[in-house]
Amino acid sequence: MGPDTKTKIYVKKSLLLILVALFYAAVPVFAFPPTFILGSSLEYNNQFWYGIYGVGSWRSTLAEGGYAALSGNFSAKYSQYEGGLLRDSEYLQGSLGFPVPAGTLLIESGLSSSLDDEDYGTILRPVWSAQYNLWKGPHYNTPVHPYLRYSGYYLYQEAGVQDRSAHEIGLGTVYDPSIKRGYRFEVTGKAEMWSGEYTENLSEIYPSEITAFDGAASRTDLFASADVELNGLAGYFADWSVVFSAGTRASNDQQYLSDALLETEGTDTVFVLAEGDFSWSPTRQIGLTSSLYADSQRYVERRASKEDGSLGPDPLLLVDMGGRVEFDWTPNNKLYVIASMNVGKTVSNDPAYEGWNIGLSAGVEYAF
Amino acid sequence: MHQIYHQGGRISPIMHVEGYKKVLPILSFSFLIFFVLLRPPCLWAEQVDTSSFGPTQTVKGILIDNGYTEKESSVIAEILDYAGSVGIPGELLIPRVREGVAKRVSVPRLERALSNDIENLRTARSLFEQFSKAEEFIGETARWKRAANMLAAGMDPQELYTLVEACSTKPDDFRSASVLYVSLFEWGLTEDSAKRVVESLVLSEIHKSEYEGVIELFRVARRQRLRPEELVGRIVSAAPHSRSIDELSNKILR
Repeated sequence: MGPDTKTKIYVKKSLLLILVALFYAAVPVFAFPPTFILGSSLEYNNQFWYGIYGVGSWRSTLAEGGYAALSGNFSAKYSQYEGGLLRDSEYLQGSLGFPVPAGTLLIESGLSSSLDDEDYGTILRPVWSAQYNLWKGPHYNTPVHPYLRYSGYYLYQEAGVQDRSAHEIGLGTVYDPSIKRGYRFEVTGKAEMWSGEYTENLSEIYPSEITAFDGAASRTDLFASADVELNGLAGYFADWSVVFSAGTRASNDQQYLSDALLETEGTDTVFVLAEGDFSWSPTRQIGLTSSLYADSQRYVERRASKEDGSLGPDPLLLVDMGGRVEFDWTPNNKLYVIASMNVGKTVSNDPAYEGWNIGLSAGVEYAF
Repeated sequence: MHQIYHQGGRISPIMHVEGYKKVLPILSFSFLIFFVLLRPPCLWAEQVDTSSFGPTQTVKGILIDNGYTEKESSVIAEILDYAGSVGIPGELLIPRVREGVAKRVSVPRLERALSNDIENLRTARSLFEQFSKAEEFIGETARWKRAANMLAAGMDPQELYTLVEACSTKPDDFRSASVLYVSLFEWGLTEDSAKRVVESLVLSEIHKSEYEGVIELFRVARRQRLRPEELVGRIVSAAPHSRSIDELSNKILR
């Protein structure tokens, strides 16, 4: 028996063992009853929207500490604005988590869609991800556990030209010194590849001498970022989290300025994000969630326009900041009454981007 | 003179329950939360007198040093002697004396407070003695005091019995389990549901320092519109096979 034959047998045996392990891990041990939620809402965000939505989920534990889950949701909103607008969205996701040597593996896949978007027609966005958590020792409660994750998506637009795919890799570590306090640090790299249709479309619209693509190269955006998260419990009935993120985007895309100028600018950016969440539920009847955020994006080359529309000397700076608060009450943990408000403000050195965004919403949900 | 002086033998917890009718359960539980969750450091502080004197002499010294008369200090000392005669370590009562002295309370009021403490300690001991690991419960005075504090705060002895029963296999988990139990009850779970959750955690490999995280599971589940009773069932089924709250959360919440 030659070395090649031995190698083949070894590979076959290994594959067989992996298949047996996966099959064993996939045997449901205890499936929890599925849950369903149906809700309706009235929202105001420049115009009134009437909406209905539903959420469903199913979860099961698996042998050897694994679990499997399916969840999905849909929403439909109608507004009388401009003679009537109907927006829909759907999402379906499957998750499989199971132990592997020295850790756990979580695999997820999903599909989000909109059947009839007023701008892009049918939109489909399959997503997929995998995350490996390294646990030192036999127990899951070690305070430090690094992880490696990968995620990707593909965006299809029936009537749009911004189809693209993306791949993202994150390497991070979680440090939970106690149940009351936790930290997370992650560095992320991401590549976003835009379709040839987008490139060709730009070339058709704009004179080829001012586009970066000329049909020869597709738009590609590269992202690099670092996140730091702090989270914890605030007493017995509340929890909080704060995330700081900073990164950069390098893109071969260019911002077209005008026919007259025949000039373009790069769209590379650096960005800084800070956001915090606080959630409080003193009793089973009451829940309150709130969040604040500030997201700053500064272009490296692209400049801000002045009030008269002419280009100024400074790089364009956009700062989005705002918050959201949601309150809900339930008499029986089946019927929920919900009210929420969000306020956002964009601050920029380009007056064209300045603005407010205020939304109010009220609704009811029923959990079956 | 004092009701407890005339109580012969130890109290059966079940019999004792009959005498405890919760007239104002909400008020009682407010006091319970005050005691168990907020734990004012001035009340039943961990401080134990370590002087070379016995607790009775120590208490007399404290009282006389703070302006109480010899007669008054003797009355209080008599109560400590009685505590010793029924097996309650006098050291457990010294913090209450210090608290009374600091607040300049009258001797009759201090007498009542000490008598109540002795009664609660005896009741807690009677409850512990229903279980095979009674010595482990009583041997750790902090555990014993916690149980008595819960009774003082208004917890029904039957409820305390239920809680001790849930921790009967792991007395070391009693303190963490009692905090969780009271928190769950305060949040809105029934006594039975809270007990089932505590029992399943005690039986699991989840460390007691993580019990507090269970409240967060209920909040997260609520945001997902999962009924608390449904989550209780999931915890009961998955906790025995989980080694941390994170692992438990992954298994039972979407």
